[in-house]
Amino acid sequence: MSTSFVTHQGSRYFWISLAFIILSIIIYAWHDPIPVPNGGTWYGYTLGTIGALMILWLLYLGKRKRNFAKGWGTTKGWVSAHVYFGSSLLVVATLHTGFQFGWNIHTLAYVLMCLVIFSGFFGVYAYVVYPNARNRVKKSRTRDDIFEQLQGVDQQLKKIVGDLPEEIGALVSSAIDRTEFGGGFLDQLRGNDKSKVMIDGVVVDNYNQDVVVENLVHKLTLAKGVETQMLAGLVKEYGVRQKLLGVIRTDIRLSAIQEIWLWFHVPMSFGLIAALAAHIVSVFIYW
Amino acid sequence: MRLLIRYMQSRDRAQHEFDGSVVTIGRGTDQTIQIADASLPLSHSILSGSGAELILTANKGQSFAVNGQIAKKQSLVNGDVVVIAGHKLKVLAGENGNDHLIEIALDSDQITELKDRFATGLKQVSAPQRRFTWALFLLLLGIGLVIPAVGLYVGMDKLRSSPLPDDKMWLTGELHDSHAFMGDDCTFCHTKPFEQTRDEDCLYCHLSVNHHFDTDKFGRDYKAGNSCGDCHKEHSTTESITRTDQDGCTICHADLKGAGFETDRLRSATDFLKDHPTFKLTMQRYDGDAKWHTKRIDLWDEDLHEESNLIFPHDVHLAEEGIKAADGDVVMVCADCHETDKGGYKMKGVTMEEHCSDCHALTFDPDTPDRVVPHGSPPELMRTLREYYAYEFLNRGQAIKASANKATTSKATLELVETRKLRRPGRAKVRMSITELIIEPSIDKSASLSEKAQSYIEARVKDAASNLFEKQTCTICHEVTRVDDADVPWHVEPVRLSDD
Repeated sequence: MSTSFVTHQGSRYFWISLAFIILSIIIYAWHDPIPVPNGGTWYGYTLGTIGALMILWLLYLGKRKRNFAKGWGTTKGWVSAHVYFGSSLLVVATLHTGFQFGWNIHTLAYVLMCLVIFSGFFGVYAYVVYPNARNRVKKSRTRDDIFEQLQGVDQQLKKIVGDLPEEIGALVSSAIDRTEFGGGFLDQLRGNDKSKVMIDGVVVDNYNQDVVVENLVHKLTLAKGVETQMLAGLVKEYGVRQKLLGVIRTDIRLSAIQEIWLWFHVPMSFGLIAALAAHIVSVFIYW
Repeated sequence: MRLLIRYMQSRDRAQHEFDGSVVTIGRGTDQTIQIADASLPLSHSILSGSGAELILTANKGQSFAVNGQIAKKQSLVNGDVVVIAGHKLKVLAGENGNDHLIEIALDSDQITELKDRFATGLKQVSAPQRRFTWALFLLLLGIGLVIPAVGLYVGMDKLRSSPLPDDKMWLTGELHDSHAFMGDDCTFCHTKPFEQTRDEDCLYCHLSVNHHFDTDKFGRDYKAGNSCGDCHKEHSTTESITRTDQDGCTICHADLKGAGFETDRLRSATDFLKDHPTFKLTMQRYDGDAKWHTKRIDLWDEDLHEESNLIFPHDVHLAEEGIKAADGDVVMVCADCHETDKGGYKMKGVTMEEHCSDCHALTFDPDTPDRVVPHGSPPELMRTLREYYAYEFLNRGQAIKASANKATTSKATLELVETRKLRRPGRAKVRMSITELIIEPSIDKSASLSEKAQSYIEARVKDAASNLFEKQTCTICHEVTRVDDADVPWHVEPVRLSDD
């Protein structure tokens, strides 16, 4: 579904939304309210009602998208409609305001709505761009495939070091045990690498496994005879490990960016509902 | 503290030496003894001591077992077996000069696979997103609705005097300037919640307001709606809140007779641009009976001319290249003088004080350019001149006196008029204007002081008044004629400008 929701059913919801936007603007330009356009004219109330109902409907997607099997329509169709109708809300609500803004709950509701919509725009961008980028990085493999490959490489490394001096085994074993990826919120977003390795009883940073590779290469330059071939194999295999870890971290980072907007979009949507309720009720309290 | 740390299940018994004061134990990759068990915290406990002494201390909220006994802090001796979440750490006598050997036997069943050790998706991060969402929802609902709504029952003033949010945030837009005095008190007009502002709330202040038509004849029905709010919309503009759209006019003006206006004075109009009778202007004419007569003249009437008695050349004032003003050339436009009143219904009157005085200042004495005579009343003007020159005569005497005193005593500091430090023989000590030099010889030196004063004042007043009336000021805009009158020997033709 990564991008298909954009062009779902020949971009049906895009055209519907565009027609709705154009119609809204034409009526806005045509109507001549007293004294100036605002939310309290007949057209203001009409757009306000449509906008409020749209917001509730768009919020319903949050519930609907968890239910792929049941209900009317497809999830892809719902997402497509959500995106385009949500975008049209930007025009509908702006026309509803009559371009009157102030330091009040009404404008706060409008600002929150804009934040929700703009974060949604980023969401659309993320769903269009990041899945493809992740696919390119992983070369169409799944993350589990790569972890499985990594596990195989780690076993191979342990096998190779079995025939090498104990200190090399301890180095590689420690580096494997102390490998990190993902982690906390920021670690995932930034693709941090906090991997460590223990060398001579001291835990040191092993960013991108560089310390281990450098150590192994150094030992390779000093090695002689059959040990040279084994160490060369070890370095080569460790290079594969290094690469796989890089792919995993990149995928985690892109995946985090792809999802992060929801951390903003959803809370702001609920904030919007609260501000919208306050907006509507307060307008009628002081009608 | 020197330790030999050995991992039992590792191939070839992987081991390393440690020389320091603190050994950290936990799941984190930066721990000295790393136990990759997802059930353990990143940092579980620390092993410290010096020499042979070993003390194991669990971090806050953590514990371990030593020889089967649960502990949070415990001194360790050789032979002790520490169990942390099923993983065993055996303390043994040191080898090769180490103080102790720590043998670690990890419970392999509990060791988490590398791919499962860390969160690899945002959903796995334990962030309070759901709590934050609901907190934001409740916060905004509370601030934006619930708390201000409580003010409706407990009294909004109580909220306004507290740091809590009140109904100010419900204000949909600025009030009209005339209503600005209400400040933040919404209940001034919105007296009943969930009810539109009622007519009686408006009439509380506006009962005696002038209407667009004679309400005694036509009642108060504007036929444009049922309430004040149908024509007057607040919170949308700080300018006029009265509807100015064409429909608001044509409700009555499309058929004035049908609307009850039985007169030929006004003709009906259905469209301002396409179907509107020729506009008429209200002109004032001052006839031979010394009275003003208002006349309505067709805008396109060839005989259209103003008879206000005011000399006001529009072409000079509205010249494209501008007109000289106090601060340089100014290009004037119609709206500089012709403005609508606040309601936009009538034109504001043009007045000397508001529209002319910036350029046409009524100054009369070059020595005091900030002093002006009053406008509109020649007797008042003459009185002002007399008072001014009488005061000046007195001051002039004071100045001469002060100057004389200064020569004899150093205490005399008051010097109202500039005096000469050096002068030719025969010259006065006080500087004199040309007028004074002309007047001076005409004053009889032997006359009494009051006679001298009277002569001086009358001469100065006469000079200034004739300048004002005949030469420099009044005559620019007014028709002035000399008359035989002792007090005011000039007559200024009365001026009247239409203001509707």
